[in-house]
Amino acid sequence: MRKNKRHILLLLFLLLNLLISVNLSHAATTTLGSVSIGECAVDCLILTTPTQLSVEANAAQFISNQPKNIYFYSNYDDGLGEKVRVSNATENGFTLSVESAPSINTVHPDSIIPYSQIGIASFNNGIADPNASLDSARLMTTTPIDSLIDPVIKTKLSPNPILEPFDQATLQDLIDNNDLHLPEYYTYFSGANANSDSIQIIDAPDDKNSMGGFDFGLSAIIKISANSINAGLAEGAYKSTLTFTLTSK
Amino acid sequence: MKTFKRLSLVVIFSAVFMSTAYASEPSSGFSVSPTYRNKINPSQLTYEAKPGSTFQDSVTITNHDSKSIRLFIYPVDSKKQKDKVDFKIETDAQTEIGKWATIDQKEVTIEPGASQNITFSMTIPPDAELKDYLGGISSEVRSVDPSAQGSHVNINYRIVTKINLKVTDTPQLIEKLPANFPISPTQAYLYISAGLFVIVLAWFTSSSLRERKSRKTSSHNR
Repeated sequence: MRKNKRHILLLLFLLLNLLISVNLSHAATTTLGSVSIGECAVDCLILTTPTQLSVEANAAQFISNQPKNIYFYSNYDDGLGEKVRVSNATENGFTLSVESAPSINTVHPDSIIPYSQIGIASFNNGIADPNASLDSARLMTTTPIDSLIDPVIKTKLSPNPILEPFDQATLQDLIDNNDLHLPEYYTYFSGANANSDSIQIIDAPDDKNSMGGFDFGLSAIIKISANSINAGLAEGAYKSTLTFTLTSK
Repeated sequence: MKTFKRLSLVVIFSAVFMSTAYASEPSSGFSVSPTYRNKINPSQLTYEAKPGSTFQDSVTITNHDSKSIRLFIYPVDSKKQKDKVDFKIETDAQTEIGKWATIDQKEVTIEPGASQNITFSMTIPPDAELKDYLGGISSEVRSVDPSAQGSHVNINYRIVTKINLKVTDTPQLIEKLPANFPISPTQAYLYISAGLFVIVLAWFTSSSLRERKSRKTSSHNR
């Protein structure tokens, strides 16, 4: 009977061990992918992207004779809740940056908007989880200026946005008024020229290595100012490309 | 003893079930890492080479997603702005590593759970200045909205695997690490635990059976 007790204890211990390892493995599987040969187990970064982000614009047409601010803004997830996720399995930290290509006229490719600005809004899962937000990333000595997590920003922008802190200002007001800037809950890079500078969103040092990964709902916004630099261009539709770059340090 | 046997069976089946359920849970994203990691910085590509020399290497891209993924691969130069280093985008003019490196497979589709090695060649011009260069291999997912009309913005996501290249007349060999271990340490722990569990369970069951048999024999002899 004593022998049986020993057996049971041993069995329970091993079962517990197995459960712990399965749970650990589950956490690793979530970030490292399914168990397969050639899997990234060490020394790599994993980038999970929303399958399709839609980008909306307040005004589809650029009218050179009537200078106007134009905003493009992307949804922060793909509608299915899928956001940007970065998992770091390297020994060092990582950086995440964004850059905009010049906005080019879809009919007259020689007509390029020379000056625009990029803003980035960040979200987590709608809860103040300091381990999974851009705010925690900001603690990692990021460059950006102001950022507040606001999970409801999307509803503020669409369909009938009221943009704080300008209580009465709508998106249309922002478009019409060259002096109004994006509200504070955007991480806004007022000095950045979107056509030539890349903007570092996250600069994570090695002590932030995390197998768990970071989720970012990144909503990008491009502001094309009613600036004299942008005047005199061909009228019509313009297209641009935003590129998010993840790299290890 | 019957209870023990039943208990053992239940335990082993639930353990196997849990392992399978957890291991098969779909994950997402893609990763890029050097196929042959070096000792200096395993997550980056590091070389020393003479002007005029040519060499080849590769990066391994793994699709962790449950659907296939289409990637565009291209070499890029780095660019400095203020105190930060970043990388040029594809449409920028490339003058150094972004120009010297060539990739045959510029576009790949990788099936779920699969990995693919992307080989690149580096040809350093004979008149290249002796100094350190920084560039990278960019693996990019393009999110293009086909229904976009009027003014619109496409969004790309990319991982840039850094290339640290020292052009020198006296290049040193950069030591490589052993090939990538196919599973993570955590997963290795899981397998070892599972193996141990099965072995002990088998031993436990067989010893119980032996005990039962010997008890039967002794009662029969009596």
